[in-house]
Formats: sequence, C-alpha cells, structure tokens
Amino acid sequence: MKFNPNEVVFEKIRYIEEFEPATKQLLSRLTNVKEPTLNFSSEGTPVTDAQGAEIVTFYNAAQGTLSYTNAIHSFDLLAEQFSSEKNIATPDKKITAPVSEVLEVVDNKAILKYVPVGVAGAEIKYVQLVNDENEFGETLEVSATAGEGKFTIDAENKTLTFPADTTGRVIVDYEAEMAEAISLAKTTDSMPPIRTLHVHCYFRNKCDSNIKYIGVITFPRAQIDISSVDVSLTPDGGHTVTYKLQKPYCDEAGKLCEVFVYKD
Amino acid sequence: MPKKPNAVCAICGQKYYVCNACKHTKDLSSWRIIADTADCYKIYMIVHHYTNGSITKETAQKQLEQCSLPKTFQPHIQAVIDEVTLAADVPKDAPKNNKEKE
Repeated sequence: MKFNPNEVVFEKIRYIEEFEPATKQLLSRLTNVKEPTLNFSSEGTPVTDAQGAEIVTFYNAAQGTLSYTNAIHSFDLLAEQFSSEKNIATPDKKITAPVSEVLEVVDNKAILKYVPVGVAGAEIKYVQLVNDENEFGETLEVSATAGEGKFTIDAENKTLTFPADTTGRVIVDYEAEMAEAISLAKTTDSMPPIRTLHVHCYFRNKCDSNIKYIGVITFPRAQIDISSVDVSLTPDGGHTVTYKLQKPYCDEAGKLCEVFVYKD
Repeated sequence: MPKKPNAVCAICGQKYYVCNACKHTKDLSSWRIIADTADCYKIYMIVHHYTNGSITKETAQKQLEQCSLPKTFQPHIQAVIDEVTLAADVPKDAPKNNKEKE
C-alpha cells in the first residue's frame, strides 16, 4: 500500500534551518521554535457579468509570511535582523568591546580586569569616584603625572593610580580587546539577505500516535521582514522574527513553498 | 566658524574644541582627546613614561629637547618638566638639590 497520509496530528517544529539560496550552505539553525504562524495571501480580481454577478475571481500576487518566536535569543537571527554579519573574534583579530567596572581603590591603586585600549597614555579618559552615599561622585581626569583631581594609567599593567588620599570605589568605563567575543551592528542602509528556509516538523498518525512522520516545509525565497523588529530584552521574552515569502523571481517553475512528509 | 572649546589640553591647559565622534579625530588625530597639539601630546607621553618609570630622567630630557615646548604648562606638569630639565642642567658631581641654575 502506498504511503499517502491525509489527516495527521501536528506535533511540533523540530528546528528551522537557513541556507544560502545559491550555494545551499547551511547558515543557521534555530532549535527552540514556538508559536509558529504561516500565512499566505494573494490579490483577488473578480470578473463580473453585465448585471454584476461574479463569474470568476482571478488570483495573483501570491505571497506569504512565516512568523515564529525562538524561545531563546539567537545572535545569528539578530545579525540577519540587523542586515549585517556576526563578527567572531579570533586571537589574531580581537574585538574591541566596552567594559564597565566598579573597582576598590587599595593603596591609591585600582587594578583593571582587562588591558584598556585607546589613545596611548590616555586609554581611559575619565573615572568617577563613588561617594559615601554610594552614588556618582567626583570625576577624575587622566593625566601624565599625579595631580589634584587627576589619575594616571599604566595600561600594560592594568593599573590606575589615584591621588594619595583616595579611598573607596571607582567607576571605570573603557574599551578592551577580547579574543573570545562576537559583535554585530545594525546600520541604517543595508538590506536583509534572501535565504532558503527549511522548517522541519514532526507529525503523528491520528489513529496510532506511536507512528511518527517527518515533515519538511521548504521556502526557496524568504527574507526577514525588518519593517518592524521587536527584540525582547527579558529572559523569557523569546526572539520573534517574521519572514516574507516570495517565489524565486527568475525561476519559471519557482514555488512559494513546498511540503514534504515521510515516515520516520 | 570656530566652535566653542570643550576640552582642556592636559599639558599646556589651553582650551580647544574636539569632536571624538568625528571620523577624522578617531582615525587621524586621536591624540586630540588629550592634547591640543601633536607636540603637547609628545610631551604628555614623555611625562607619562617618565612617571611610570619606563624611561630615565636623562632619556626624558633628551626627548623633551626634540619637542616644541609651550609657553605655559599645567602646574603638575610643570613640576615634572622642572624636575627633568633642571636636573639635567646640573653637573653630574653637583649636589642633587641645587636647582638655582637657570
């Protein structure tokens, strides 16, 4: 008997894969997909007779959208929403990142966690003392030598030296090179790339739920919709994304989407 | 039109305008974050290295001779400049505290 399922129980999305359309290189894989929504739409043009009775409706301009929330944040996804590349640091190509520390001043010195970078001799321009009320206090400025309201920096040894009577804590903001870091930036003039999506799902037989089917919904041409991007900055907010689905324009046999189901 | 000064040179105390967000400052003259002229920044680095102990007084003095010194210094910078230049003027066998020689 041929395998020919009709009604099945949708179990869940296993993961969504993104490919470069031309090379089919796998670019990202999101494994915590929840609340997926697939929507298709097209424009209908009704043809009516002389009395206004509808004879037929022609549909064109078919397109779709795929929306979902990844339960945990994805930097790969964010890079696409930013229409940019994710930079990955290497020992040879470190990433300069902002650092903020609140340090204890001991013997007029404070030791930084990282080696600061910037203008030589003035890698950190200002620091702020924390006052007795645990608030923003006096601002000290870097100097080549000790002076009132000044501090000196020895970047190589990660040491700041303060005036003789300085005690308590100090707020220090600076930049440091990280060998283990990533960075991504959003610019205002870039366009999100076109991707091919594969949505991998599980289905169950409606009569025997022990029988599992694997489904793959493919979208040959999907582009992240950046007209409105909401990035939740809460632990449980998830990472929401919407793709616009279009037919490959130069492919006569191009499809908006294709569904495959096979036995596990 | 000259812009309103928003910085003070760490060496001479001269007020000047700097925009740290401008590409030119970031790429070509990042030293302007600390000093108004390249010479003042050279002096800053000499004093910085001398204070950190990475160069000797004699080396600092030689390096300062290569710079065009401003007419005035910030008081705490002046103290180091005096320490370096006056000490260098003193003959090697003279007492250390003799600073009268101009």
